[in-house]
Amino acid sequence: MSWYETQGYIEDPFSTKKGAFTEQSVNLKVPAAELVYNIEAGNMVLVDGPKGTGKTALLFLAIEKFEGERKVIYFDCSKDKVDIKKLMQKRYGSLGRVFNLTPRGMVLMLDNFKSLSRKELERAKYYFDNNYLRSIVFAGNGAELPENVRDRIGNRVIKLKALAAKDAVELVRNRLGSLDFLPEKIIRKIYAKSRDDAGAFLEKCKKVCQTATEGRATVVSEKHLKAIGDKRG
Amino acid sequence: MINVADTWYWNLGFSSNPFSTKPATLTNEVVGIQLEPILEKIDNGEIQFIEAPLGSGKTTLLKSIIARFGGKKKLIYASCIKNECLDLRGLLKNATLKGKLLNKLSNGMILMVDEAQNISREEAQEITDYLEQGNLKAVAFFGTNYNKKLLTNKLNDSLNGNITVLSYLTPEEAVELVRKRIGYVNLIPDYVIREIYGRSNSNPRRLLQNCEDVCRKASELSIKELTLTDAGTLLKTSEPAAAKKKRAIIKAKTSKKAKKYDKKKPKIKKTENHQTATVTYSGYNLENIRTYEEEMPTAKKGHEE
Repeated sequence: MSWYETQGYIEDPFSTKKGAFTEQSVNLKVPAAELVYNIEAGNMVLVDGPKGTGKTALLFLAIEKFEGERKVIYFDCSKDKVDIKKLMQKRYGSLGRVFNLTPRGMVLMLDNFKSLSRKELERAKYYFDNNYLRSIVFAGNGAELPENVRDRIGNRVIKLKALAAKDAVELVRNRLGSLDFLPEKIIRKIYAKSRDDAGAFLEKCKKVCQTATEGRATVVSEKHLKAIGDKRG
Repeated sequence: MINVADTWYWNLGFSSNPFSTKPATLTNEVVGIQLEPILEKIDNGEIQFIEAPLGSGKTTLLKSIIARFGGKKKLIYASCIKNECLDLRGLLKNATLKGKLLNKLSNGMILMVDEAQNISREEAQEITDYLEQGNLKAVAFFGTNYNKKLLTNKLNDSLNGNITVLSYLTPEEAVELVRKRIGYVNLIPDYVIREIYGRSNSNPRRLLQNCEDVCRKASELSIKELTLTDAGTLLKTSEPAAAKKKRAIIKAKTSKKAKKYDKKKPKIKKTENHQTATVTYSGYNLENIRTYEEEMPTAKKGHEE
């Protein structure tokens, strides 16, 4: 039995899997509305921010809004080599590849676009210019984009800020439902050790909660912080 | 699914964003550019370079040209990417079905090269070779700047100064561009468009983006007709942080300069026949500046000569 099942949860409340608990995200409501508007309006958008600020979570929030339309292509460029033409043709399955069919009005979301080759970037720009792509969303560091793409983006940049301490508390409250098991004081201490990275923060919360559950504690205390390398714990 | 009915353009009666910056969203959208001379040069089999800064309408122009040759299988479009070779042979082979089936290169094709500032010497040489062999009839390069060194001597000779520099739109043309997109709506009067254009560094793409921002914010604030003050305020709030910082720096610099100039008042000496002013503004020494009445006849005379 895993720690979260012992605590009465069906799934891991601190999961960092893509698309998990997006509705519980903190501080993403306004950026999500901005992103959805820009996609709808057919703009090229950049989601900029350091690691762990919720760029991927924001993309997934937007994807949820377009659910059922089969119009969104999400691709994590750091995982695999992207071939935009193939991605587009996948929309029509094997028929698309055989008859060289390219869909129109698609939304392309390129996460971690740093790994994207210049050729594919130009191809994406071509598809955008020719209306095959209604909108392109780049997530990553904007400074790495070539000038002609940056010019097309203009001021359509959604800057995400690092998680603040109070946001971290709210995030945990949203995920756990209450702060009875993991008190605010401990959350703030875990946050201080996470260097503004939401992903790392959730991982550390998970580790601390796991240790506390294994030790049959009813509330997480400072001694459980040892699990994340806190000497004072 | 998202609700389009919440968007500002839906409230104005548009089903999609009228200020989309996609090139040639609307057909025949080319504003302020003489298309005929460019088409004439293509028909005459000339080589030309169309030079313009980013966002000034190169791709829109290119798409308009492509539209003129639509369906004739006579035109190839290629975009140059830095450090990646252009597959011109493949493009010439796949241009027609006959070429594809017989594995033969097409003849007398028109080549459109986008992002030509990224062209390499090898690609330029390949274009020269295909021109000599007759596979290519005319070439039009589209880029941000013409660099003589990147092209071969033969291409430079054939270009023979055939460089069209796209000039900035006049404020009236900017109004025309916006009106083509949004029509005559009360929300955004002509003088506001002119003001936004001035604030967009005379860049058409920036103009459309700023118009979208202003109209969107105005709609949120339920403004029925924008004024110059509204446009100024709304544009300031929609500016990204970096642009704001840049503007603040420029403002600080200009105000510093203005103060410097204010301190140095020109010394005016009176002589018997005319006034002589000695003005020194940061290194410039302009002596013997005469009064307007005295200077006018000579100036007129000089102009007539």
